[in-house]
Amino acid sequence: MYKYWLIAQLFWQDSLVYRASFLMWRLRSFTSTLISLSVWSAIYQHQSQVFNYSQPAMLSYIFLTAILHSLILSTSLHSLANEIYSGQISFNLLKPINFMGMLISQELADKAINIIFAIGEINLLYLIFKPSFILPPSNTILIFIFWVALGIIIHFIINLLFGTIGFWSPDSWGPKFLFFMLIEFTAGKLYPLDILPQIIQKIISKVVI
Amino acid sequence: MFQQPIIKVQNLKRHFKVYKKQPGLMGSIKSLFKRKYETVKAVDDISFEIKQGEIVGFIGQNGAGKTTTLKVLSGLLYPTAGAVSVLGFNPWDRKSKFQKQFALVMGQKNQLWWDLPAMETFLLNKAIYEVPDEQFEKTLNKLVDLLKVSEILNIQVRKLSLGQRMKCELIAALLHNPKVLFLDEPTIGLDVVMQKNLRDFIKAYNKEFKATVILTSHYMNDVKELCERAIVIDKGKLIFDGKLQDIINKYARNKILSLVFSKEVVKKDLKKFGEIKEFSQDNSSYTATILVSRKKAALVASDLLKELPIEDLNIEEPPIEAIIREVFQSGNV
Repeated sequence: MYKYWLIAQLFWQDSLVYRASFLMWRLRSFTSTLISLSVWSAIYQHQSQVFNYSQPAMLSYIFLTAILHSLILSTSLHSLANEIYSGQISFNLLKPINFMGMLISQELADKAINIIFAIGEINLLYLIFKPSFILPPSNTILIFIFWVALGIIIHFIINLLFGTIGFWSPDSWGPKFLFFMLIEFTAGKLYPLDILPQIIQKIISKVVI
Repeated sequence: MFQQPIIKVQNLKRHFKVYKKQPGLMGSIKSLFKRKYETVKAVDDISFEIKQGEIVGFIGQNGAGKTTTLKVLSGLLYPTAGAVSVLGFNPWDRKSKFQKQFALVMGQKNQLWWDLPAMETFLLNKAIYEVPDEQFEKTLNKLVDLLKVSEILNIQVRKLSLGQRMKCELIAALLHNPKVLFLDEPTIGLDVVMQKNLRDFIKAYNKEFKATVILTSHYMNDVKELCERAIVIDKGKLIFDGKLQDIINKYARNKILSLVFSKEVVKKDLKKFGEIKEFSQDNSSYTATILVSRKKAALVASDLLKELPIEDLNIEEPPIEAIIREVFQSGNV
């Protein structure tokens, strides 16, 4: 197991090499949540209920989706297609190490660094907006954790599939970008889906299911 | 030493299906609907055996099948047909026990973590190959001394020169003391001094660890200095397997006679002795180079000494590069 722990450590070291790039990455994530919170705070300025959501419920929703976004949608597999296409993957296949184990350790390392910084940023946003939180009911917490775990696994597998594009082309960014735009929308990253018109909700549920 | 074959290749074939695009925009549009494929025989029915401790040079033009063969031997590619055994293993089973006993170094690719110091990759490889602490220290110190890289181990890889990086690549590949070493153009892009350093190192490593080395290189000096045995591949076919000297004996038709004259000579007087490659007659020096048949070289030299005012005469083999080039160009295989 030590080798996988070492891979995670190297991944963290590697992520922190370019300070400017690292800061921009975090700033992007922070700004995205900041904009959502600002827009919804502005909407609630003169009304207490919008689409059957109170302001605390909506802001709690935005905070929670920010954490889930860091946990589920972060991935270290962005460069997999290019590694396959360029043949750089060869070195990992030649070594006495489980390749999937290696990918998983990098993925977990990526999620860990994401969630650590996301929690820090959320604390900062909490100080700015000072919302009153409405947490999901505690009797569904286990099923919630189970769905989150499934989300992480499914997202990992989808990224592996995108990585296999590397057998034909080095560039998997286009289809991935389109896919993740749809994911963010259909997963309710921007707002709760039940505020949309019934017809759109039906289309989304048909397409996703 | 040199007793047990540890690499056995029998009738190895590796074919690829490649798409042949017609030229121009119309070709691109047509290819959207229908594509023509061609089978490329990267490796076509080759067989050889390599014994423990040997250093064997793979010689061939670009696309001859050298790298493909190394990739099959290291388990990266499945063969289309044929049998391969390395250290008693089927390489494509990719067993840990096998992977701990060999290393592949590719001059055009790097396994080092680009943005981190090379030492981090060494420590990771130590963990991956499960190298005991004591052995790691000992091997690392030895390799660092041999390659003189103690000053650069903690500098980011991306900031190293090509030569320094290649040295670190070799260390990363050798920390687990592999018994078999596949070197795919390890000196590519390096200056002559660095090429010499790496060659000396490979020789020393082979001697110290009794390692079997297969080397591919476009620099014939690498092959000449390191390999007693050469395998020549052309268009996927093995066309020669034997001592390097035997290639020269088999394919070199001429010898080179370098002449220095004590006084001016007339070019036409020289013509009858052989094919004149260089002729220079200026105020201070009178020199010429002629090509003569290998069989008659001694006789021609003797005649030259008798008939012309020779101050110095050298009989040389043609450069191995020229012989190999001639072999490939003439199809004389």
